[in-house]
Amino acid sequence: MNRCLLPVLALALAVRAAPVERTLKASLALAGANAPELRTALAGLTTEHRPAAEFLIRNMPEFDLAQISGAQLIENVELAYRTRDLFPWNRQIPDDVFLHYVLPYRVTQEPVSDWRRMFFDSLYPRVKSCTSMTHLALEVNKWCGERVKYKPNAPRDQGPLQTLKSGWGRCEEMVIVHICACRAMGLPAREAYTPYWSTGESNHAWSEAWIDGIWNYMGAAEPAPLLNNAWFDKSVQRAALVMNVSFGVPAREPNVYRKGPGYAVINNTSGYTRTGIVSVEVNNSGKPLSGVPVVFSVFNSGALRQIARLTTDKTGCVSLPMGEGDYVVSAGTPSAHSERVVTCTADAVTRVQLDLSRPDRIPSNLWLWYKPLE
Amino acid sequence: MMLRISLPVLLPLALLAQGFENASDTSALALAPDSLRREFRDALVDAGTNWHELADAVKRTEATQRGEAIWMMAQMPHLDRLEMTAAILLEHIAYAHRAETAFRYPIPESLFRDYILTYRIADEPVTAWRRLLFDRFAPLTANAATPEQAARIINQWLNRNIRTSERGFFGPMKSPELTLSSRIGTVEEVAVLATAILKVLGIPSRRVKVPWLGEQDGDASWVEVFSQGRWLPMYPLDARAFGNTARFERKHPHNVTIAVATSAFEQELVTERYTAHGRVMVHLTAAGIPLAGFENFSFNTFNFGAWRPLDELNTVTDSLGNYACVLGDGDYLFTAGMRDPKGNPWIVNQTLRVNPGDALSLELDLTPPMTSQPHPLFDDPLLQHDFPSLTGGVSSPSGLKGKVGLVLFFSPDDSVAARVALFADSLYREFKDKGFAVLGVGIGDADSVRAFRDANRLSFDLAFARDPDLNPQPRSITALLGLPYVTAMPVLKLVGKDGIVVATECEPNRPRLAALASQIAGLLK
Repeated sequence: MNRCLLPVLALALAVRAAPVERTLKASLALAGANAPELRTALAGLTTEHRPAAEFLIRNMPEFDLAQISGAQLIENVELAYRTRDLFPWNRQIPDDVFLHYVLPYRVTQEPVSDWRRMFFDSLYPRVKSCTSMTHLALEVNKWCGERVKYKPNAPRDQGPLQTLKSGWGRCEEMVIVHICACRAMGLPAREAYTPYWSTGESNHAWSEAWIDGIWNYMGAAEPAPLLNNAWFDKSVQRAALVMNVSFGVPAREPNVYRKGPGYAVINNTSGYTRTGIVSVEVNNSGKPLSGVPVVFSVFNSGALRQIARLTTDKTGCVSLPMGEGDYVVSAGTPSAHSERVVTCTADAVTRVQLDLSRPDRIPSNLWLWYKPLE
Repeated sequence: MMLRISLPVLLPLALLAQGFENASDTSALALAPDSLRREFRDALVDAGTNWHELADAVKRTEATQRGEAIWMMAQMPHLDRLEMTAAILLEHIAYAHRAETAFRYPIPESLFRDYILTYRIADEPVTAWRRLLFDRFAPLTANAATPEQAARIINQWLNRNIRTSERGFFGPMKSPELTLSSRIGTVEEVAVLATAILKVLGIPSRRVKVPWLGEQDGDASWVEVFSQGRWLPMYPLDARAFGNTARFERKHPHNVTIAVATSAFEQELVTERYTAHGRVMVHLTAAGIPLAGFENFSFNTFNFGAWRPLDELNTVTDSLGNYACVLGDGDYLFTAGMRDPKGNPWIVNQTLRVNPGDALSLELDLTPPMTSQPHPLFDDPLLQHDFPSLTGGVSSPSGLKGKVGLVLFFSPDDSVAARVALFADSLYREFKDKGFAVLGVGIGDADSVRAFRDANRLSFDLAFARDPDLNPQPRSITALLGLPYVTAMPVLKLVGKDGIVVATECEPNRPRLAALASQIAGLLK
């Protein structure tokens, strides 16, 4: 069957937790033969711009460390900093928001490209008279919507310039274009996605823009007259999870679901719908089991599909804020596993135990229920 | 606001360039063999402004190899057509033939295109890696007498020189030359490098994987090489296991589910070669009627905390509702499901154990039970609504009271709508004299609904309604039906004589429509 799902989401689910902070020295060591290029670039930057470039290098994936050119790095930093003076509100953007959501040169799995100058040249004349961040955000999305339409594409992500050139892309490729367009104007932007819909097939990704201190969502390259207004308004209220992606790990972010070298995935479900907490304890005849993967799944495209995976702590527990509804939770190995259906209720903690010595099995026939649309 | 940037406000020239549809120079088309000209033209159109790179490649390819270049263009994913350059493609073709003449391994002609010529191995970026890899590895295998000997030498080299890493969160997959230069890659990236090296040495090769292997986190990935008439497994980082098809079965008994071999554009299930196995056939029905062309089911294996679907089986039933596959011995969960109109899934599960040589048969009926208590007609805001009728005046579902009524909400632009409307019309013609009525509500303007009626020669009453922006705005028809968007229609509501909604069907397939017809006949008795 055709399961046209977003590859990045599968990756986001598959990537293991790993140490988060990498030093500049460690990053340059990973750059291998490209390290001199990066060192030269750092030496050529001003004292204002150098820390930003170091931030990027410390958080760069290995792929980029080995390939990005000094010129690309310098251009990205310099053009990102020039946006600080582009609109009166850009100076009000806190430094950490700027670093994580304006400065980064990449959104997800797309190849590195020099998109900032082209986006600026094409887009700025159109938006220069915008009178507020909201006005700017809506106009930028309109500009994207005029150039990019949805159409399924190959599993690997095309870069933003390529998507503009072809005029279409998957939802995630539309997100890449939209976020690059926002960042080119100095508007903080990040990806949001639901790993799999609970009440429909496949999944979806969209964008969020930081406006006067609040993140607002938009259908990427799907312009609407208002912020927080898209075709999935209702669907997302029934979503199991909504995640955001950050380049680097924001220090003040309380809802980090997963983090690793250079990235954080933020559980922002409560930003979209009422949530409860599902707490799962895994034990063996009552003895808590630590370090055990616990998986939360929904039914989607003919199968139970993982929407989150957490590892039990020393008390054998994991907890996950989720949208209201029924989910399958499971843990264990092929030879000893247990799974149950759990109902997550808004504003409540639902506790469930999985005893691997007395395994539960999901019923042979069952409904999974989700809050009806109002 | 102060603008301090003085950058040119011009679109890059590339964005202004024209696609092949508007090109004045179409001379490359004439170079294509007749049998491939149409596909070549389609590829050029699909390549957007990059068409000239593809055309240039064809013009510059030796005449005897043009067919190969065009064959690859015809197979290419869209994104590759945008990114491919003439230089990259020409290098791939030239070095594929160079390997053929340099090593002269006896390779069946049929394997050359899929397993040596193709520039793509997995989801890596499009790059020119042949020359680099040829120069680096051809000397190493110069004295190998067979593809197997050469592959073993490469296997040893990889084993000694390449390490594996976890996949990072950001960024694409590494190209073979980047994995080589960094000497580190994910298991899949190393398999891609190994496959690329074998290709430049003129040895047919392809990636193989077992999805969700045993207790390890995720897939296992390796390479197959074709030597002396058979495919042999090569594990890039375990040279001692070369040729051993039982390697994973031994490490993960009863957990090698399926083995999937992939070339650039094809996939082949090769499970039988890697594990003891059995055959499973499923027959799926709903309301006793075979589910033809049904996709929403899966075979799952337990891996790393959860049941994981074996999506590579590409499950879809045939016209009789049957599907068959080969599975490695072990335990599985068969899962299938349907959704109610609100999106809630009804799931049917069955565990099964596959033993070597088994021929198992599953027969499952997926009919959901009643999704909820019936909704009183007059509590349903949609059914209270008055809709402008095509014949003038208004029509209201509440007017159906006292009859068995079928209310059809549809989008005139939706291809499924005609099939469902014709079904409703046939029932209407059959049962209208027995107290059965149909009201169709088209979401659109009067003209589009009228055109739909005329095109399908519908005889039942039709009304129309606007749905603002075709989106679920508050109180729009779509939202009231609980649908994410208008194309999730058609929706059918079957209303009993007492005004109670007794069934709701969303995008019903043929078996569901047949079941609904039986239900209507029952209500009319």
